[in-house]
Amino acid sequence: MNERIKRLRDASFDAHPTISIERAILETEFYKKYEGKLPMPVLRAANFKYICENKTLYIGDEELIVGERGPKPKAVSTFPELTCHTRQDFEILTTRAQQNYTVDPKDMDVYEKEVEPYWRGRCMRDRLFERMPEDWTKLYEAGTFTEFGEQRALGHTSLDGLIYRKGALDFKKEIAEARAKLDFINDHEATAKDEQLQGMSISCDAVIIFAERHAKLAEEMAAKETDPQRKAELLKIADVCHWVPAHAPRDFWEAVQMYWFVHLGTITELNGWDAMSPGHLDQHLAPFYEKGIADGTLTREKAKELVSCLFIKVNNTPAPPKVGVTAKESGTYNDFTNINYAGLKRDGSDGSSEVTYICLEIYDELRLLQPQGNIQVSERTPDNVIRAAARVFRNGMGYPSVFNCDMVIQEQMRVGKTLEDAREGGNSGCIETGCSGKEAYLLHGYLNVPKLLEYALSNGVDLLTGKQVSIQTGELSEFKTFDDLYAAFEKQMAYAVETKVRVDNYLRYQYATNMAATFLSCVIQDCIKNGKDYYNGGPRYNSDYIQCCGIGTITDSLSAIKKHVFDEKKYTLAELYEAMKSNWEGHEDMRLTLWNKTPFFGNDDDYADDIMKRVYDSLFKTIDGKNSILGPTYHLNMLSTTCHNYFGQKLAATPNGRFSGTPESDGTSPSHGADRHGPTAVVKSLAKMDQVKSGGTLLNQRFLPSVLAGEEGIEAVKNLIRTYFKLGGHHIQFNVVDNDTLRDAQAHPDNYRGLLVRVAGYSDYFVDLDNYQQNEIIQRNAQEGF
Amino acid sequence: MNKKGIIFDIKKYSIHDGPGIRTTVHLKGCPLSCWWCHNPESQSGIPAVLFRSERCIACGSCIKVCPNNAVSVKDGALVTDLGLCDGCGKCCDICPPEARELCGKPYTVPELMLEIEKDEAFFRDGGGVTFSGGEPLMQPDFLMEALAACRAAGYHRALDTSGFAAKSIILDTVKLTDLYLYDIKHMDPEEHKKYMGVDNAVILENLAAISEAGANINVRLPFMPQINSDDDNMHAVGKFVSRLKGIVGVNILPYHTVAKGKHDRWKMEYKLNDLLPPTDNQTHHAAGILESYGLKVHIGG
Repeated sequence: MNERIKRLRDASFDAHPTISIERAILETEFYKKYEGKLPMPVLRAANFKYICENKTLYIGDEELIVGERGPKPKAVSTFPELTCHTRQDFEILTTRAQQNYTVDPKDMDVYEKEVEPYWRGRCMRDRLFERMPEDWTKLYEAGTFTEFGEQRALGHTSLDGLIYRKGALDFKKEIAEARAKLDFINDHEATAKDEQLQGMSISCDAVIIFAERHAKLAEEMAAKETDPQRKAELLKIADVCHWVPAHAPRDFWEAVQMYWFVHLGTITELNGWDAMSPGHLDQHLAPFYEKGIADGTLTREKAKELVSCLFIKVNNTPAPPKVGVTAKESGTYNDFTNINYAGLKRDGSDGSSEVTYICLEIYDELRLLQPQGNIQVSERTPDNVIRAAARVFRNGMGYPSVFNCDMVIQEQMRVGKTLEDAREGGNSGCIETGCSGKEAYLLHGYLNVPKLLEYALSNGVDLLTGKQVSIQTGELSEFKTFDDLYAAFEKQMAYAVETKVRVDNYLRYQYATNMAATFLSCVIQDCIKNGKDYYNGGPRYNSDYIQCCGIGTITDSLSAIKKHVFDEKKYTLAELYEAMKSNWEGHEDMRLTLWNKTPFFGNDDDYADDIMKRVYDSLFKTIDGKNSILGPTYHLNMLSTTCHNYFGQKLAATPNGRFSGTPESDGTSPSHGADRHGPTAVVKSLAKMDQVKSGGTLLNQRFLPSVLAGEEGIEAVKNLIRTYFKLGGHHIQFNVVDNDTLRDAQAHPDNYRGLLVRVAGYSDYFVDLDNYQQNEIIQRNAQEGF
Repeated sequence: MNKKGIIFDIKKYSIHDGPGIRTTVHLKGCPLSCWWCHNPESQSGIPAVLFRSERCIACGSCIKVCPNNAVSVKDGALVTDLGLCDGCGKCCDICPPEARELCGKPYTVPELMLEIEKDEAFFRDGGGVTFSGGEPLMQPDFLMEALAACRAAGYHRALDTSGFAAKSIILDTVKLTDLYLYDIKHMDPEEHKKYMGVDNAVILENLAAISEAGANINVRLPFMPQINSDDDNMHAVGKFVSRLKGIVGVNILPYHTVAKGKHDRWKMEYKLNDLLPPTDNQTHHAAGILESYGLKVHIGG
């Protein structure tokens, strides 16, 4: 990296996250004046425009790509219309040891006086919790599932190449045409569409104004600048901001700035889950790169510098702080921008280019928390892309992760996307498959699958509190066969999923009617054509997901019961249940027998893997095709982020010999320590899951550095990836760090500020994790290759 | 034929025992007794129960299950009478904390193939199966049958051997083996006898013999400071190996202290407690000598 990038990178790295209340103040002023006077989509859009017109701008020394969500880097906005923080929330944020955000005490006073009184009882979170049914509340509080919509806007969004072909003025023109075509006589939705389209048009004005203000500021700074080089740069920045996002970009620089303005727009209008991702950034930038190199207006170094500037901007944007359960299920600064590389183009040809390699180099040099990246590996992807990625992930940052592009395409086609659209799709957030730029794929929260077995054994009682929280599905004595018990487990599953979906549909309806994302709707295809919002069926494709956690723990637990209770009759179900309830107190021999003498998931053993398939199949049948407000749009996916820790804390001892309160298995990885036959057996076990029926699986593979050393290590891991993908795997990622290093990092966090480790579908700084999460990572089974 | 082999480990995702991703089958029993042996528990050819006292929870399951009453408590410690133990492994199957581990399990070739086949998909990019030990040539009938079965299945086959076997036995394997990983531990017969317990004449003769018979050979040198690391020994190796046909490369395997832990765990005497791993300079110096004989040298497995 050059000197400029080094300084910008260090500044971003060293900046501590703070809370900026500016957005909240502007929004409260605006809402006080206009709420109730404007139709909802227009209100949301005009609110966004008001923020764009009035927020403090920032152009830092040496920056080439400009724009911040807050008044300075890492100054994080709040979204009181969604979740209104209290003074107490801010006090916790500013004092907690990990993931702390500094809040100015004066701002706390202002917030308490000006912001909170208006939004209390009005914000989405308050309104939602007031109306939750009691059966939902019981299951929710026992840790059976979580709800994404309770404090951030639903969504997982990534873009396609549209914004490199069309600017905001083009969108405005299309919107005007769509409005002109509205049929107020025969279309009963015409008025609603008209209001939505008006809002979308105002949003386009908002981002143009935002960019023009930057252009003007750059010109003012240039006028005062004495250094001729910087003066020229500032004038260039002004030129770029005059042009994008109003128009489609004409060169590489404009293309990068275009993306950043669109990204900022979407994360300023609302606080959506998983911020925003660019989709296939290398494919989007490649034509600009090639043109610039061919006509001599761009060098490889300049392109690398500009993309580095973009990455630093993303890193300057930590996630807005969460509260309550959601802070536990995913406590991180990371806002999950995750970029796709390589993969296939719309015509099916290889999508990798020189830009792919440039970006991979940047990851290795900058080592930032955000953005993270992944390579999309098709049969047609050159081996060199995997090798280049492996040279980066073996340095221990946990990214880039690796996806099977051919599977990702199949997953999308199974749920109705066209082949070409599916090729433009990819993965965002952790591992979530979506049709970039054309889909609202809304994740609704995690499901604690092992907890459902607890209910089947306890007849619906939460063993940690002793309260009846779920339905009664039978006494232990009624389970004469393994299938009897399994049937009770399936009934618990059906009840939990139905209880959750009922509330999810309610949440989705609230977003559709109260929280239009008018700017996002401009850049997601078909919203303009349909005259509908991103949250209201506007996009070409719409889906809803429930993320299932703990497949390793549930498989191993059922396997232990099947083998030791029903097959070998070593213990009765009642004996096992009593020992579990006592958290194995006085039953260490039983616990060790269950833990050591049961076929577990992750060992290529059909005894366990057949149970995994059965559970997966039950989950699929229970969730897939459930109705949302838009029809049968529900699907399952298989990720846990860090929720397996929270769910583990809410889970009594399990029949696989796991202690109460300890983590359950993450993603679709085996239980910690259960896989004892190396990575090929793990991969074989997981390949038995019909992953194409999910919206993504997550395999965390921890290696010690020695296994990836040298060219042999790179070749072996490349072959492991290729083979897993031939067998039908969706995703694999590598955490390459040894336990001595991690323990030393626990003891001396100051020496390891830059140590990134793979947590779930993303990496985080190890020293920012709480002790519980740190220990969990240390315990994940280190795979030794010899 | 269904001759059973005694196998003490089947390691998957082996990436240092030949090309690609491999499954390494460790056959029990070895005629050598190298001071730095990494698998000292495998030297004996018969199944044996290993005990990790630190894991034991004193549940008594092993005492109850033993058909020969070989396990008992004496002076508060669990003891196994090796005269009575026939290595049936029942105590290992039942032991809840896995404190008891059976080292060496009989397999027929079809049983072994079922285990190897599981990773067949990973062998396609240049990987395969490696037979290692102990010393695989100690179980020649089983080895020949297993190699033939692997050939029939289309797997690449490597044989990791000390070369200490009857010439007719090792020559038999040449037609079934794609690559030998052949150890040369010392060129001096006296030193070899001291550290390995046997003379090296057979080993060197066999190496020459399989080379003549058309084998592909990767020579492996465990690189032990003060024991075989001197320039004279390196020159002797270089001179000897460079005259042979079919040498695809020489690997220098720098000594590391893993073996000490293994000896300690199984409460076996380790004679090299004070020996430190070689420095990079020493290793590169040795590599330079071998390269001066026109050999392709690689440091590491």
